[in-house]
Amino acid sequence: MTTTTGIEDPLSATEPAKIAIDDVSITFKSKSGPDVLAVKSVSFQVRPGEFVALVGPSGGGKTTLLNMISGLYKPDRGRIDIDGEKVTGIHPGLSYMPSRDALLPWRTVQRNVEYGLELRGVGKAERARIAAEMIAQVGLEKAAGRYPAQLSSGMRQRTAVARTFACHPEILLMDEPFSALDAQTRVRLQSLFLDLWERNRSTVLLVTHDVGEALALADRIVVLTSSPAVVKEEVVVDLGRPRDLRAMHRVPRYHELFAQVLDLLDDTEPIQPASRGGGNARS
Amino acid sequence: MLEAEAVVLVEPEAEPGPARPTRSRRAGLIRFAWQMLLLAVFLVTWQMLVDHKVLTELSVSKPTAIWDEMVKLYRGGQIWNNVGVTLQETVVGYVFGVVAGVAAGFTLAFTPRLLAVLNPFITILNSLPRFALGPLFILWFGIGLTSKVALVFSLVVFIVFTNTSAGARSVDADVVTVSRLLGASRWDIIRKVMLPSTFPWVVAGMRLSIAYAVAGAVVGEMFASQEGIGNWIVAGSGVFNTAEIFAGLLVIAVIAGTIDLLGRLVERRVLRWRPEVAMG
Ligand SMILES: Nc1ncnc2c1ncn2[C@@H]1O[C@H](COP(=O)(O)OP(=O)(O)O)[C@@H](O)[C@H]1O
Ligand SMILES: [Mg+2]
Repeated sequence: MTTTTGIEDPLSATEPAKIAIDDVSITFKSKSGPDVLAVKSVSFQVRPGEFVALVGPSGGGKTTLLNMISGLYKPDRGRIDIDGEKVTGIHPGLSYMPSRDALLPWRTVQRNVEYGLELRGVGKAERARIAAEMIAQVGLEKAAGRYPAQLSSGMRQRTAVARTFACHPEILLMDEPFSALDAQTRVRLQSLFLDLWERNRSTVLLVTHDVGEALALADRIVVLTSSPAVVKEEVVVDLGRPRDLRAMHRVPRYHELFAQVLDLLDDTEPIQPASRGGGNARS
Repeated sequence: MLEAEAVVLVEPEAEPGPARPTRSRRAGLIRFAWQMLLLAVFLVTWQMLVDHKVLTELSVSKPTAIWDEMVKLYRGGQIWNNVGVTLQETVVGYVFGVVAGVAAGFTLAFTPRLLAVLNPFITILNSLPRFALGPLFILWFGIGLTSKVALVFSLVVFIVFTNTSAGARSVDADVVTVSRLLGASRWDIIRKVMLPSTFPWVVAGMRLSIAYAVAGAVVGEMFASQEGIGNWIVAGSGVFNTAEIFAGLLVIAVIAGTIDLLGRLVERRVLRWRPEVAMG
């Protein structure tokens, strides 16, 4: 379903926030066990073209928050605005990248990159051209005709990045998109992603549990507490741009920020063995 | 807009190439040679055991007698008529079974409440030994083609149905989410995600049910019929012509084997993207 507010008005510069989350809460009703308050009174804003990272413990409601912004879930309380308009359904200018590549295994790299354009009604020749361009930018020309099963995980995620950018999204929601990759491939993809983003400058909200990744990529970090998610603090990442991800560790400011965010996260985590899968409010 | 200056921003990564080893072809030949050798040893041993009266020809026949019987049947022309009848029953029942199974599988996957209501009945019907329905079908549809088609149908439809609905329910949730956020309509999701992702399950069900379809037709003929391979086997049994029975079994094996081989070729072709197919 598309929103009825789908007509975009890029010129209404009077509204400074691209995404405005205002006092949002959501509770999941559960048939077995207590209801789960996943997100509680969260408020923060993302400016147009800003890159914000959302960090917090796992099971803390980050994915749920993304799902509300994308219009898949409806908050019980509070409201979410995109471009000053209340989110009531799926927003057409928005792209989403999950941690698993979520490629269509029966389509080649080329056709996977075309997928979003195809769904948005772009003509055949035009989408083939855009896809080929994107595939070249992520360095997969030689693999364009291959199926996902024939690719390494890094190549698959690059395909997903190409698919995401092919639609020129205004807003990019990313849920731990690089977490499934090995360290070397991850840095490579982060750099690639950052380069593409520098040219495109969509508004990005990146969920991650990797503090280093948040610092390396984002302009600002929003730290959430453990479940239910509440905004703990916002940290401005004043590291300038463009950034050389491989040289980050030589910047003293990077380490200061790292320690600061880590401290914030430490406070949020209750002192007990980390429990997986959330729903750990009381046991 | 992204400019046309297509800069490659990454160094190429170690690529798991489609390097199809030439070794596998040779390995295949060697395997085939071993299989032929094993078959030859089996046939020769069989022949010798019967020739030296270790086994009685009446109970197990022998390869040369079966061969003679085949030649006789071939010369007499009955072979084609019988094979044709059995094939016709198999194919008609199979096609109806596949179509109905796929339709029911999808329908029930999209209407979970209806599935919940029907589920116990489906389970009961499915656990019923369907070959045992043969006599009932003879009673309903007579001793001609229809009763055998019904038996084949009843076997195929459940296998395909079970596979289709399992496939339709196991669609990757992440892919559906990403598709919806990329702007997919309900119809797009069905056409571009559900159908292709269920397809391998349907194909698997189709292949599995080939053997059942052939068996259904032959067993149906054994209950009551005037022609077909099953009829031919029963006739051979009636006059203690063991070679004729074995000739019938051989023809069935060839038919089932050929259809299965065709099925496998089609499967390789349409499921090129599957990991096991794509990787060779
Ligand atoms: N669809 C859902 N139904 C019920 N509970 C859910 C659902 N989605 C998430 N939850 C619960 O909400 C909490 C937050 O989950 P999630 O947003 O996935 O956390 P995170 O992404 O930060 O790891 C968890 O306790 C989880 O079990
Ligand atoms: Mg999550």
